[in-house]
Amino acid sequence: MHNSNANLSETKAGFGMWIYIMSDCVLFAALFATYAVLNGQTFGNATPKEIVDLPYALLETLVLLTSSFTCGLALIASQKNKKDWMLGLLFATFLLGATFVGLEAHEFSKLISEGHGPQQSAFLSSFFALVGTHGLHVSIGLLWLLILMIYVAIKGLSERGKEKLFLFSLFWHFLDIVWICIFTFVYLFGLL
Amino acid sequence: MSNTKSYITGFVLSIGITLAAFFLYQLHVYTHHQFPTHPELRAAFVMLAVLQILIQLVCFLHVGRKQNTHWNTAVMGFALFVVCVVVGGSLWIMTNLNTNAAATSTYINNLINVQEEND
Repeated sequence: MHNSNANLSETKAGFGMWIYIMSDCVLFAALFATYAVLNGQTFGNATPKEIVDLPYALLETLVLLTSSFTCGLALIASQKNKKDWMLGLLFATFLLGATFVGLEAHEFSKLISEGHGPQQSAFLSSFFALVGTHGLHVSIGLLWLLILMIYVAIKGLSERGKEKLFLFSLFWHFLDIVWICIFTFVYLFGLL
Repeated sequence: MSNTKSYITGFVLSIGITLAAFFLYQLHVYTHHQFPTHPELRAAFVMLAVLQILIQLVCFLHVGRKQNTHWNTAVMGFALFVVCVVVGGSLWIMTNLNTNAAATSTYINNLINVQEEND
């Protein structure tokens, strides 16, 4: 099992995906830097402390973390050629990811309806830009996942399908790591 | 460590660390900001985040295992360098500008005070 994983990460596609993920890392770094700089520029509107709902953010974190876990299990199932298990676990990943996006959309719409929209202050702009970009990544990931599931369901579990799943899992775990940074530097630090 | 085991370890540790950060903050509120204090909490949050990122890199993304090629590590190292430059550099420059801006406003306030005294 280790060996098949090794082969996957040494393919050209695996390396290309890795480079993409690392350049995405730089994109998020720019957004984090913007957020850190504009953190205090509230222009009389809400401060970070006023908009952070920690238990809600914790729920989002746990949902995304669990989806990352089920994605990993799906990858293992694919390497053991257990197609049904893999599809089931991918479906669980999809549901959890969709729940995460739903939770975040609800959080955003609540903030906007309370008058804390992105146009109100530099802080809120940077908050929506950072958290929204992550949410957009997750949404696009869900679309990718859906296409992947249809591909495997129709074409069966080929070597190519396994490689596609491996690339997706890299992306999905990466988004989880970015969220950990958001949870720490936006939500937890926002309370201090 | 088998693959399944590494995912389970990563998952359990990640959840534990997230909850630890959450309850550390609850403790902070419960003790009326006495323990842990703000600076302690900040340090703890950063350390927990770094720890969790390392755990996920090893357990989920399998960084640092033999199968990873040197090129992958090189790309990651370079990305890390750029991240440090972008985030560290932005904060450094902008806090510097902020400090200077604050000094300017104090200077203007002094000028106004002097003028009022003269009036």
